[in-house]
Amino acid sequence: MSTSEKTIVASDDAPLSLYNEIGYETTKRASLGLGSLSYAGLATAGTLGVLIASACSSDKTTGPVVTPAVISLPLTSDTDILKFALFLELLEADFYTKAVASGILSGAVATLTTSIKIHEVAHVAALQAALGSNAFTANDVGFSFGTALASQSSYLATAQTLEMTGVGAYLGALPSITSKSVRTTAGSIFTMECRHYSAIRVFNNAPGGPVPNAFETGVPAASVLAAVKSTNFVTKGLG
Amino acid sequence: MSESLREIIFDANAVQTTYGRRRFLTSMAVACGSIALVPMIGRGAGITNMLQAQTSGETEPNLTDTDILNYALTLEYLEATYYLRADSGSPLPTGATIALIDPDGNGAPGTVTGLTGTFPSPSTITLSSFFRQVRDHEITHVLTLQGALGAAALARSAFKFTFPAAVYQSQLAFMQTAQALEDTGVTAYLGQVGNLDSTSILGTAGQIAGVEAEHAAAVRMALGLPVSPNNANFDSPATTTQVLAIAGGFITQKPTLPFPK
Repeated sequence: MSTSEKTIVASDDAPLSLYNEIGYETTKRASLGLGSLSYAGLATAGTLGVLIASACSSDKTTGPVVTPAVISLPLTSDTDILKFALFLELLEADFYTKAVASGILSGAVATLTTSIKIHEVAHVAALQAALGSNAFTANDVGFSFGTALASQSSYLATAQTLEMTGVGAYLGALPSITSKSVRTTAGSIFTMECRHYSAIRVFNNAPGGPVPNAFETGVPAASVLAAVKSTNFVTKGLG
Repeated sequence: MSESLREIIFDANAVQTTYGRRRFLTSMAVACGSIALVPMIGRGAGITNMLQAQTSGETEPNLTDTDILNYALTLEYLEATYYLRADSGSPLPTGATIALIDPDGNGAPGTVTGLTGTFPSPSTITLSSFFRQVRDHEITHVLTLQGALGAAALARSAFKFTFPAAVYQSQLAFMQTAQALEDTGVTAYLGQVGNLDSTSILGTAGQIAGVEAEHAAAVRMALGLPVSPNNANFDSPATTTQVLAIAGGFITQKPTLPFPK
């Protein structure tokens, strides 16, 4: 058993009252096309029960069979947090693996994407090792990215959304991690997601530039899950 | 000169490859156990590891949260001063003045005031706009940390920062030094994630650490480098001692620091 860990939990307290000065969500949402399914809106819109209920019942077109959910909310332990992180890393690893294989990428974008793919695969392995018998695998989840991988530009837009989601999820969970050593390893993955995020923003010519704000923003797990669901990329693993 | 800068004066990659990897593996081994301690419902595997998770996870247990905030402030002073001296010719963030952020150098601009060009294709974002944003972020971090510390904040006037003239004499050297500073900042914040007691301060530290990593990666894209040091899969934590060994060469006058201890 070798590796690391991670996180994802809701952090309700705004550290040092920084949130008011940030304006991060607004900028990100406006530039990323998350549309009405904004984090802020979701945070107050539905209870988790509602989110899960919709996950189970609404998207029948993408769920041929009812499969077990690999995660559950609320996240009440470090293990819950790591499992949520593992789900997100499996999503990212699959996305980048398919992007590299698609042949739609070129130049610096292709080089960067190959690196990110390797990083995300390593994050998956680290989380699985940390979770031990609580871990699940790529066989327990399924993803379909459709037109998101139709072109380099659609890829970049989607990658930016996924990385933003990962950054917010890790930072939202970080203060809730009980173990201080787990915090450190979660942090060491969190900053990698941040690196990916700004690098993708460079090549996506994102409004506001590679790093639009002085502070990153944590996102509660329920909002993260809702945002992931809204992409319709998940075909298996959410029940 | 740029080579010596990066490899001798303060090469963040050195932290990654020497200390970082070892520390990371250690922390992960501990982490495995402590995770399993929590809810392991009737699972047999991992019990041995579970029982190993008794350590606090703190690498520098004598540091108080206030000490750590002053450590962060010191590094942000360094970064803010570095960027301000490259470009002090545009309005500063609210509440900041050159006299406040760079009293020893008075924000005297280097010759890199006019950064040219863009990030590599297909990006069309200009480097000048990016580095001006970075400058403003670092100044904002300074102001925020000063606000959080209140009277306990180390005064900027007690420090002097000195950078080799060469870093302001070419755009390449300027960007390479920026990359090293930002990568070092990431390792520094990560090194304290497990030492902070306040979850509120932890959240704030994470908000800043993430932005340092974003700065680092963007500069790396501008330089045509991998997105992380040595294209590593994980960032690595460093101790206060390790970070000062790297960045301390730029700190030519300082007050009595509450770290390391």
